[in-house]
Amino acid sequence: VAFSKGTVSVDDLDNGRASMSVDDLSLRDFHNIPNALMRGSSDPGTVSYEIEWDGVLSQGEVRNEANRFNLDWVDTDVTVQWSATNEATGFSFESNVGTRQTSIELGQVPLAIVGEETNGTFFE
Amino acid sequence: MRIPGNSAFPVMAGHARHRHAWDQILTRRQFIGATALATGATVTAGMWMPALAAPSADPRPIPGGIQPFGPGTEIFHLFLPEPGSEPSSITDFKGNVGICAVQGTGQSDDGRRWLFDVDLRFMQGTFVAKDGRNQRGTFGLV
Repeated sequence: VAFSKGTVSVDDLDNGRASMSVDDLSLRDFHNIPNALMRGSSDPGTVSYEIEWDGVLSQGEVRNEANRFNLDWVDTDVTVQWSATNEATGFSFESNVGTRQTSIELGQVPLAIVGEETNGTFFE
Repeated sequence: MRIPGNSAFPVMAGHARHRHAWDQILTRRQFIGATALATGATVTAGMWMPALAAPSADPRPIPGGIQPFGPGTEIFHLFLPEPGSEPSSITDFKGNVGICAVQGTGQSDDGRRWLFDVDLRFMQGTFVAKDGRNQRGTFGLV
């Protein structure tokens, strides 16, 4: 496994502001879901991405006794851009800016949250 | 609450959801993310960035998760990005989390158009490592 460093900046959870950036993270391209689940053949690849969470659409709390976690969450607006390259084939992809709206336009239900979680031994 | 922070972190693979075709389909799960579910299990079992965390300082995976092949089969120690589900894939954790599960469009270098579907997360805070000690760290899930 190859690694790359990224950054996370949690600026203001009350207002849903945080960001994450990753550059040239080395991963494997498994091509499709079944192959990935079965840990089939794969190619070396890299991904990079930038995410910005910002704004409060709603907020709430989850307490889950069965899985032993608490979550104070803020539902936010979000932007994401990512790119990927398969180093074996040379195939590369670059996204346009993805948002809640681009998901909705594709008939999907996006999820963008930031929050505070406690689980396991910290669960109370 | 205001929690400033900016730190380098190790990234692990996660999962993504399937999408239908536009010109082509490119989901994170199909591309690199496919690694995700595959690695989702192993990642939490010790594929953390060694440059930042020695094996003894690795976190432990959450005990639960999804079983794509049904009851009694392998557990992938993470939950799908849905309202009310657990964002973190590590247990004995206390800190900040973020999920970006978004779909959109893009293009490959040969000019073809694709859809994408990503589930990208972070976990930043205190965790009890495999060696039993409290550690601080920031982790990504791809």
